[in-house]
Amino acid sequence: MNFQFTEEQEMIRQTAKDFAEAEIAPSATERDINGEFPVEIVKKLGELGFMGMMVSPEYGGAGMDTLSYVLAMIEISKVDASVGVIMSVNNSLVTWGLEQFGSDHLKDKYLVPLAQGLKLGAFALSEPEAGSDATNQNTMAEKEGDYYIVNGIKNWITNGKMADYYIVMAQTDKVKRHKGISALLVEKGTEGFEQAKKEDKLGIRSSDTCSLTFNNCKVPAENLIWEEGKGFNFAMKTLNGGRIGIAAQALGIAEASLEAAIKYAKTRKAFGTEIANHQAIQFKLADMAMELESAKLLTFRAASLKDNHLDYTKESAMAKLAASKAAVHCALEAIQIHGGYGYVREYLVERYLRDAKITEIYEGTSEIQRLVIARSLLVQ
Amino acid sequence: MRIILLIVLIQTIAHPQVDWERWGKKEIDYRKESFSKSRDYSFDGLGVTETILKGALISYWTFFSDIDGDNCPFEPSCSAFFIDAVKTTNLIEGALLFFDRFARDTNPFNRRKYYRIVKSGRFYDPIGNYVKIGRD
Repeated sequence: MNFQFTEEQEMIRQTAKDFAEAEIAPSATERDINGEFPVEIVKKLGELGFMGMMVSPEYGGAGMDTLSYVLAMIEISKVDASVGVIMSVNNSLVTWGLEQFGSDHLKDKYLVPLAQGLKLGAFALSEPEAGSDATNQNTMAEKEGDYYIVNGIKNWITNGKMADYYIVMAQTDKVKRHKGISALLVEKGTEGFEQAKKEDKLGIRSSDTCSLTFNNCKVPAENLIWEEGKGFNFAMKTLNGGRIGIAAQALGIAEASLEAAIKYAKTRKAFGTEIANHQAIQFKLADMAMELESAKLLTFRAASLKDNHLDYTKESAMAKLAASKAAVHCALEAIQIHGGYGYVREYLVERYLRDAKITEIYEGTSEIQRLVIARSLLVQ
Repeated sequence: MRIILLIVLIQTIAHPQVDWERWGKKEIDYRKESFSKSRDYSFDGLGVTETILKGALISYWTFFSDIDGDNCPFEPSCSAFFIDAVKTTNLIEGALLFFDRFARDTNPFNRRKYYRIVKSGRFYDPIGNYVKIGRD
């Protein structure tokens, strides 16, 4: 087992770190307060190749491995988890799925600009009544000639407002239930397709989440991804990879919380000495570091399994569960160490907690991750 | 005078070795994808700008770039930047922008901080860093 990163992986980590600190950090707090989408930052990330990291160079991507992607995600989310999720959706949910299962037409027309960062993608699976129970899709797509007529509502769509291309799950055959779900690629501006207003969220406020409405929306039949009825499989396979991205995002938040806590503990004085000298604080820091490190190893393992084309369903669910738990716990403890200062906006730790909570919810709640893990254990 | 000469000599010897990583020890592979693929040797227009620009570039590509190899640590490379600069502005302004960038990027004492492109590992320094694209 080799725990060393390659020179290339180190280079990507360093670039992401430099970029995040110089370009993302200065506006992070303001964007969080105003709920403003980081247009310029996303554009620059695209130019540097961070928006299509795992796409092969043939389609304009960087052709990197999942481990490099995880490292970059950690560094970016450490500074701003909102930018992290924008990047994660485009990388692991949209471009990865399109490259794996898309037709040549879809790859040439949509994957290339997505991988180059010229366009932004979104992934629409959740519905008002279908979140964890993704099989219960009410969005319908009926085939009429060369088109699919899509009707329905999608909820909680990350990049919902700013994306150019949307991967939408819809029922093409209601009788077959989840075996009748198909994945379609919908372009922004298609007639009958509308975005509702941006949600006012607790955390990751800088990313734009909104619901989408399809009202007799005409989507060309050639925009079907994989095959008709394979939509659910497509979504599950894509989400498996997505979980690694979200785990990395959670790791970023946890790492930022730990660093902030250490820095504060070394400067703040109580009872005549720095609080870092008190065991009560030291034990907290030790627990945080241990949780972070163990979640990191799980995430790296899942990424490395994916790179080696082995089954990583269980491992990615474990990584996401552990990392999101670590993120929330580390952020909470960081606030506790900061005391009253941690509770006010002047210090960043309160944002870390708000951002951390979502990692336990999206791309499969922690409960769903436990289900996935348990099922793969019982199948063996 | 001797001291200055000595400094110049040491600088030239030391910097190409340790400065940019791409110039350091690397596996040499002459099959690497080259910039030359995107080179445009044709003369489309007959304008003064076009003639001077293309003449200078083709000479540079033929006599320097091809012999030197594809080892520029920046993307776009200086010659590609020159084309972008002239296309975005005009010949005179473009040339000034080119010299501005050339001086910055080759300054070993106070270089600007650049980010590496994920794919190639090269430093990204596009025309957008110097002029606002899409201006009136």
